[in-house]
Amino acid sequence: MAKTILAVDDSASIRQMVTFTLKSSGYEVTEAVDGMDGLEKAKAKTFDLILTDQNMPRMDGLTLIKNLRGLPQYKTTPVLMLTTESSDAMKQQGRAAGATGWLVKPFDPQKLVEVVKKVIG
Amino acid sequence: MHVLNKSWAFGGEDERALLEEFRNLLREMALQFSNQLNAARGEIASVQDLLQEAIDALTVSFQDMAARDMRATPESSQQAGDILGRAITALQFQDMVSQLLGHVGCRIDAMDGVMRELNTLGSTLEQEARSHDARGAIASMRQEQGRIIAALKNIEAQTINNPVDQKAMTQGDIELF
Repeated sequence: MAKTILAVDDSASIRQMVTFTLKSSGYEVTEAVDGMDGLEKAKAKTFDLILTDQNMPRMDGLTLIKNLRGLPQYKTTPVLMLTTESSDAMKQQGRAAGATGWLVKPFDPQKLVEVVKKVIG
Repeated sequence: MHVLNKSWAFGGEDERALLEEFRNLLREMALQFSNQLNAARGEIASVQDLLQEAIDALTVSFQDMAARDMRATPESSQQAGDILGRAITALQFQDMVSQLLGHVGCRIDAMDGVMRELNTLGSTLEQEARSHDARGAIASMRQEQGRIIAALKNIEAQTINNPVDQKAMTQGDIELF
């Protein structure tokens, strides 16, 4: 059974590229348009991995992670940030919020798959 | 504090001091606007650089794809995958451009906030110049002065975090905690 991934990004083109990349490697991918949408979809179905952007309308990535970590089913689920933000301060905030890793855009499709495999197999 | 019968003017020491403070405030605003506009110009230049680099990369990738027979051998399929991967990397410029432009928008919004306060100040000055209550007029302008100072501080607060500091389309870092 394919591992499930929730890809959260307000950029339609990024979502499409992430979905294309991960589906090509055998993962089942669900898209969410921002943190709020992501949180709703995460509550409706439990995913093996959450991949989220930081800067999004309505709810940003860090807030999404904090909310997810408050849910019993997502206490230990890997959550990767995929963002243009690259400052150490932001990474520290991500780590404190409960992020598993930090990927800075632009991402290399092969490396994204490698990281996802490393995290969820 | 003296009260004028018909209208008041900047004749007293307090009034002159206030006028001087307003002049300084206007100079500070001019400086801030100049700095913000220069920063916006720099960001637009970054957008142009990213765009050019992405377009160059895409052009090379698609020229490669067009020059190959993708279905010929597994090796060419692998090559097609590599080319597609590079195209995906390059195409992410759209997201960065969007975020950079959003940041420019924040700067413009912040400056617009100051401009709105300036408009209010202008109205207040015009209104209070006709007032017979000098004390009330000065209090009113002090209030406007405070609003403008707050709006100026807001410029920095609204624009301090630029979400995109990539200078080229090189691949980003990966860090697992």
